[in-house]
Amino acid sequence: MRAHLKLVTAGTDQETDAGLLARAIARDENAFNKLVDRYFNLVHRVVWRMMNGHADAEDVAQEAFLRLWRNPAQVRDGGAVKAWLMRVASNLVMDRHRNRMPQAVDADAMGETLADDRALADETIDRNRATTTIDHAIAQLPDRQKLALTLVHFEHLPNATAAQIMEISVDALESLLARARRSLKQSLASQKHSLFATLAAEGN
Amino acid sequence: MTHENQTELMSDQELDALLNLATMPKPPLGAKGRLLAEIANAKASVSPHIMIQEKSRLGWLAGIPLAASLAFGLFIGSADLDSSILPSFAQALLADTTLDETNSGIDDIEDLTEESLS
Repeated sequence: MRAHLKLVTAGTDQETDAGLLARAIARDENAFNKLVDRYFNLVHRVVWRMMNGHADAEDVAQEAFLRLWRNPAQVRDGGAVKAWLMRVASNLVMDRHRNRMPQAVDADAMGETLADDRALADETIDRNRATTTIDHAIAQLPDRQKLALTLVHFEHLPNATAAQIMEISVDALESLLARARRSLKQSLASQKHSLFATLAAEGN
Repeated sequence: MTHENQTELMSDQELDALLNLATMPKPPLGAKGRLLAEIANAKASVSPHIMIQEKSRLGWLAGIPLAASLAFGLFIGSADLDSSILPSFAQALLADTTLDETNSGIDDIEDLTEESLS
């Protein structure tokens, strides 16, 4: 079963999101804290990916939850809290990117910036460098492609759910995904052999 | 090698395998605690808003005696005071006031002004 489904049913706390939201509307802080426990890591992961590992990811994730706390009644469908949080958080990131110069990849957060690709092409690279290579390639994607990839590939959401979060049609989401994957294939092709050598070494 | 050829060299399954090498970030230590502290601060800042809402409800309650007073005033104004509601001393005072008004009402200003000019 996919990870996002486990989030709802895991543990002994079976209270639904709608129930927790209703209590949060009545200013029940404990109920809101449970929503934080349930979804903060998820929202942070999405924001982190969209911000290329920038340290402000925590602030943006926090802001999404604060907006929910200030006015929980704005979530019309109590069962859609998770989608609402991810939509608000991703919109906050895109607003920041629109208001600023294009953000460079945070080299500190993602590890060392890659050296000469040609030097890496024919040798096995260690796991950290492979991770940095993949993160760097993802970071180069436009925001909406990155968000689509994050929701579907990394958070294992169904296409329909991801499309709902992004407020686009499923066709549009699939188009974004296809473009993202094509770009990644192109940017990783030159290092394909070293990356797979790393994967193979891990398998041994 | 063109990009098109490079794309052909990597299948979807291979790309998925490579994407599994990407970082799976975890929130910084204490991030949830900091969020809950912010919520506590936000809660403190929300309280005055709730108090204002309570105050506005009380404002409606205060309107009830004001409306009753207005209605009573209209009733008094339309009623025959001399014979019904007012006690006798009040009726006498009212009569005196009415007499005074005949000499010093605002309608007389124009007449007085004309007299002083002539």
